[in-house]
Amino acid sequence: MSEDKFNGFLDGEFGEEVLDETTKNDVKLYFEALKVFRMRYDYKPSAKLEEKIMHRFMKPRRILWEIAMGVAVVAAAFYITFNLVPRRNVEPAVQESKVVSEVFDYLSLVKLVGDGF
Amino acid sequence: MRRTLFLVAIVLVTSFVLAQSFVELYLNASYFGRRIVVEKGPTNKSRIEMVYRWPNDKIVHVLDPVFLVWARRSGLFIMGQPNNYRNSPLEILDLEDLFIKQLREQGITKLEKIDKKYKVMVESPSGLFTAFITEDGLPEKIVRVFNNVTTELVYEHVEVLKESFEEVAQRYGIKSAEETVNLPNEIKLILSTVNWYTVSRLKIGEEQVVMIIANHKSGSVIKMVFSSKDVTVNIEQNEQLLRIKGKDYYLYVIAQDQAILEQVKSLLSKER
Repeated sequence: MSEDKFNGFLDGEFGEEVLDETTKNDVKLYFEALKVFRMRYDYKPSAKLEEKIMHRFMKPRRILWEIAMGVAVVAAAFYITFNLVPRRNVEPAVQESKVVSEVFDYLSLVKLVGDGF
Repeated sequence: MRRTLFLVAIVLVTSFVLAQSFVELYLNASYFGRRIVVEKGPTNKSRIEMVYRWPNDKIVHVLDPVFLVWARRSGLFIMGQPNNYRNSPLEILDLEDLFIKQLREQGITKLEKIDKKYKVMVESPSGLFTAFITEDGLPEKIVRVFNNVTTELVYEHVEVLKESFEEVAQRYGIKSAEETVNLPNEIKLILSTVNWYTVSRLKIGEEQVVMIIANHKSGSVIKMVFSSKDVTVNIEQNEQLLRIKGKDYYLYVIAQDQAILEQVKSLLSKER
C-alpha cells in the first residue's frame, strides 16, 4: 500500500483512478472499519438497560451512605455518654501533696521505731 | 551502837560503790542483743529488733512490724533500708536511750540487788523507769510507766559485742547518707520540746493534712496541723493558734497554754 496515495485520496487530493489495487482494498477496509466504529459509538442503550446499569452503581452508593449514617450515630452516642450524661467522678476528691505525705510517713516511722524524746 | 552505825555505813558505802561500778559497766558496755518492745496503753504496739550497742553509738535492725535499720553515729541519726538510707532530722531514741538519759539527769531513785542482777528505779518527768541489769553491766529488761502507758523492753539474748561500729555498719550497707528527710524545721524544733507525740492524717475541706498531737514537757498538750495549702483550722475557745507560712507549706500550732505558745514563738524566732 502507498501511504501517500492513501492519505492523498482521503484528503481529496486525487481520485480513485490513481490508486493501485492494494490501496483500493485498504481504502475499502478503512471505510468498512469506520462504518463499524460509527455504529458502535452511535449506539444508545434502551431505557430498561440504562436503568439496570444505573441501579448497579446506585446500590454501593446507598451502602456507603448507610455506613456513614451508622458511624455518625455511634459518634453521637459516644459524645452524649462521655460529655452530656453526668457520671461519677472516679478521681480521688482529696489530693495529698508530696510534702504532706513525706512528713506523715517520716513521723510515723520515727514514732514506730522510737519510744519518745 | 557505834559499831552498828559503823557497819551500816560500811554496807551503804559498799553498796554505793558496787552500784556505781555496775552502772559504769552498763553505760560503757558494748553488746549485741535480740529484744522485744511492747507498749500497752490506749494504743498498743510491739517491735522485734536486733541491737548493736556501743557506749555512744548504736545500730538497730527492726525486724517487725517493718523492716528498717536505724543508726546513731556521733550524735547523728540515719534511717532506712540497705542502700537507701537518709539522715533523720529527729533524734531516734529507744526505751534504753530514754532510760540512760534519765539515769544521767535524775540519778538512781532506788536500787535493789536480786541474786546476780540489780533492779534500778529512776523517777523522772518522762515516767518511772525500772531496769534490770546484770552484775556484768548487761541489760535484761527496762520498763517505763508514764500516763497509764507501760512500755516494756525485754532482751531475750544479750552478748558482749566485739565488732566495731564500722564492721557492723558495713554489713548493713550503712554509709553517711547524702539526703536528709524533708521535715520543716519548725516541727523539728517544737518536737524537741515534747515527750511524745501521735501523728495522723486529717481532711480539712479538700485538703489532706497531717495532725500532730504532742505532750509538751510542761505537761500540756500542743497540737500542730501541717498542710501544703492554707486551710481554715478551727480551734476551741480555750486554745490559741499560731500560723506559720513556710516555703511550700503551712504550719498551724495550737496550744491551750498561752505561755507555751509564747515559748514556741520565742524558740522559732531564735532559729530564724
